[in-house]
Amino acid sequence: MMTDLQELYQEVILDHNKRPRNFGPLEGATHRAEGFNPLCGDRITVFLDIEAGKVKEVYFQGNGCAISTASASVMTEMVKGRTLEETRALFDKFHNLVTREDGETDDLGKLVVFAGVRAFPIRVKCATLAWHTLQAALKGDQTSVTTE
Amino acid sequence: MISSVTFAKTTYNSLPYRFEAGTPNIAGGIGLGAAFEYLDRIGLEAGAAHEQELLAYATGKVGGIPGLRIIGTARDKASILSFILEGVHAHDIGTILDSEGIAVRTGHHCTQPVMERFGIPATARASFAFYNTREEVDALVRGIEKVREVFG
Repeated sequence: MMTDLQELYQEVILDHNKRPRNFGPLEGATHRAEGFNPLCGDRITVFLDIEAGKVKEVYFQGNGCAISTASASVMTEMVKGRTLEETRALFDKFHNLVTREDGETDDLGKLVVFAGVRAFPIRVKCATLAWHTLQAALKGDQTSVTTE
Repeated sequence: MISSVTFAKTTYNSLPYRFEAGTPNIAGGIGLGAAFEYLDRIGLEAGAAHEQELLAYATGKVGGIPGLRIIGTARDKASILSFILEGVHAHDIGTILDSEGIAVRTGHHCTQPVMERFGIPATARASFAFYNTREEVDALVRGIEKVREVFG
């Protein structure tokens, strides 16, 4: 039985923090948005290449804590190739997972590793920053997203 | 605050009473007095000396941790110790130290221009008061070692 801390900083998360996937700028991105958490300084830019209603490519850049970096990295793996509808649905499920005791975990794939964030309410915004930024990018918002 | 109030007109009391509403914070005032008496018994100079000694002890021990850099190295400082740890964001330091029973503050500490000056996003900050002990500093050091362990 993992302690709360072990669950939060488990292998997958530490790995994605050390070697974030799809990390870097995206030339010819069709959509992009910036996200910022002013409380701690986490910053992220999400780049998207949307084609025929699907996420063809997704990249991210920025710097932040292990949770926010790992979350962004796993997010890019999960949304690549998905339709915009599926992506939005995934966001809702993920938000549920990290904020609610009874958040369901079906269809979340690798994202379930973030369930541990529930025990650390102050880190919820770290986990969701990339997703909020992704939403802003999909909407084509010109202003950057902030957690406050 | 008031001298008299009618639907037609309000007249205010004279200074300073016109700026004090209703019943003042009596309990708060008495509490503040008790706090001052407590500090007086300890002695402000004795308290400050203890804090500075702890700061020196902590600076030596924490400063010796590999991959750790202390931010803010002026000769005359208040008893605070801000630091960054290579490869670990302050927020993560804070969460792990918290799980070890140690409370530090993390983030930009309302000093974004200073963070920019040092080229860093955030620090973890321990602070020492007259009620802190050397044992607690040792616990902080062990906590930071645990952070390094988790992040390998």
